[in-house]
Amino acid sequence: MRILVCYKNEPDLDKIPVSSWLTPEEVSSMTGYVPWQTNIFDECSLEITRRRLVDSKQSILAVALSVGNHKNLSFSQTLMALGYTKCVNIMVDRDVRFSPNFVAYQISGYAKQVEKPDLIVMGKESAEGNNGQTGYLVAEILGFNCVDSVVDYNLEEKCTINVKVRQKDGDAWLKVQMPLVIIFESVPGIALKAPTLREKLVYKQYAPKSIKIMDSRENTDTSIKLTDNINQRHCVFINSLDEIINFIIDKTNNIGLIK
Amino acid sequence: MKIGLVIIDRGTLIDTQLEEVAGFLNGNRIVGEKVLFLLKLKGKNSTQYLIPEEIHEFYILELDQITYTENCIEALVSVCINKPCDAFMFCQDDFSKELCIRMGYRLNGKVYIGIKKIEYLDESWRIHKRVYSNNALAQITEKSSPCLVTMEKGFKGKIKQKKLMRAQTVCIPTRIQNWKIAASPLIPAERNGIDKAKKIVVVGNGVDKKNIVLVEKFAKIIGAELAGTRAAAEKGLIGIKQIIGISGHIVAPEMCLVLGVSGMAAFVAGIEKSKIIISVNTDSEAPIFRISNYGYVKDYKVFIKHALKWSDDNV
Repeated sequence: MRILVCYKNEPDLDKIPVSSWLTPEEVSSMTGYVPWQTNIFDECSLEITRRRLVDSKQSILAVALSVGNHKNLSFSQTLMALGYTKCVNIMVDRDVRFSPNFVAYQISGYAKQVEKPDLIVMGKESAEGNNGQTGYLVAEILGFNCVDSVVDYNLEEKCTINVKVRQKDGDAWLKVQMPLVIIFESVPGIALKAPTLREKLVYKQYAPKSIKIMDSRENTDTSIKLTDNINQRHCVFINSLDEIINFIIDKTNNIGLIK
Repeated sequence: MKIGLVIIDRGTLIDTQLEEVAGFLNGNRIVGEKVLFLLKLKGKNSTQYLIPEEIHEFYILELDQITYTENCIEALVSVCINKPCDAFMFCQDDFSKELCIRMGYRLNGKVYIGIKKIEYLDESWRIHKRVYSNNALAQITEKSSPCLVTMEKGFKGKIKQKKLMRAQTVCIPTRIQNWKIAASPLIPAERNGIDKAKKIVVVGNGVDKKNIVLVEKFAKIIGAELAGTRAAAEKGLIGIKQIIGISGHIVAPEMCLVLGVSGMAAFVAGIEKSKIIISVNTDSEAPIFRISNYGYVKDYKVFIKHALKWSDDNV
């Protein structure tokens, strides 16, 4: 079985205030100096796939793929140490933050031309463009089936897998046929395992394979400006401690006070 | 200008979707002829609905199978070839989202998900959408047509003026899909108290490990759940399952008391739906105060010690 797991490294927005990175009235944002992290949805999908690689009795070829990620050398070594078969980076020479079509063409181009996977695992959306489209587009371009809101999966027989899907009132397992694209939700409590130093040292010379995909269809009649999304609640500053404590109690109508 | 509004009789009630559509139309005042498409399973007999008065045309697309988006896309695309629209608007649920994206691909249109506002100005669409985890607003000028969008969450308006309208029914033969082989019964989601809590005390990087016990004690006194930022989890103040933010829980309690949190983008997305946010931070310029209703500019230790003293005296 061949699995393609797509991931993205993106700026860790927890590390800096918005005013430090947002350039108003332009599409640019200065996040280059911010520490990078793996997208949280992708982190879940990478970890669950890692677990399946350990569990499965089948022979699995798992490829970790990213598009336009130049900062993933060390991360690729981590993924290799965790059991991935190879890491591939599709080189692009453009801003892809707001271009889900372009990214989907790159991924599906790679899947079609090189890897021919049975299963493509993707995260829900990036923290930059919040486009939320790439997974569905990849399924559409490749003619694959698609399941979203996935929180877990198990590999079953040759052509089917079980996916756990998050719904409004709970989760359900679905048995579905491949080829398939699954789109991961965030799963609280799931984080990518850290490999041991010994495991990682084996891959210290490893560099991800860089390739270019020429398959693309992009409409460019679009211009974008970014502005600060001021979500002002007009904060009222309270100066007295008694006042703020009483205020908390008042506002919650005293409910919950343990007598 | 023709605008197609798409609702689906699947999962979410038709009335709820109509209210969403009404809320979106009220907030946007889009000029043009509005066409409502309702996709439903064949055999559900009703063809008359109370719909927003702005709707000019109303079509029901009857399908043999509505579980798969594929059938709905094929039905919509086949109808839209004869009744082309300049824009299509969908509700915010996941099924509508998938339908919108895949239909957009087939119609060679441009798709935007979770939009806040759309207007037509100077022969182009002006779309407002939250990006960077809700911390920036993108204003997109889109010249291509058709433009397909899904609304962001929270558009729910009463249909102010409604009319009873009979729809024109179109039966669409559908290819039976069977790639979903089996489904288990619904397993109630394993959610911890944070998702349902009415009061939450959130700790951030500014809180010290030796004082977390005091914060925990105060949270218990006011009957609140304790949670924290990712930085707080990395510091060992809370467990990984207590993280709030993009990488953890998205909460909407009645009251959220935030201690020692600066208010970075990814965290703010997790608490911004709270009814009241009270923040304690030493820096009056900290971004957390921008989304707080009430603020106290002092060290959290001063606050928590006084709060515990207060509770000793009063509880």
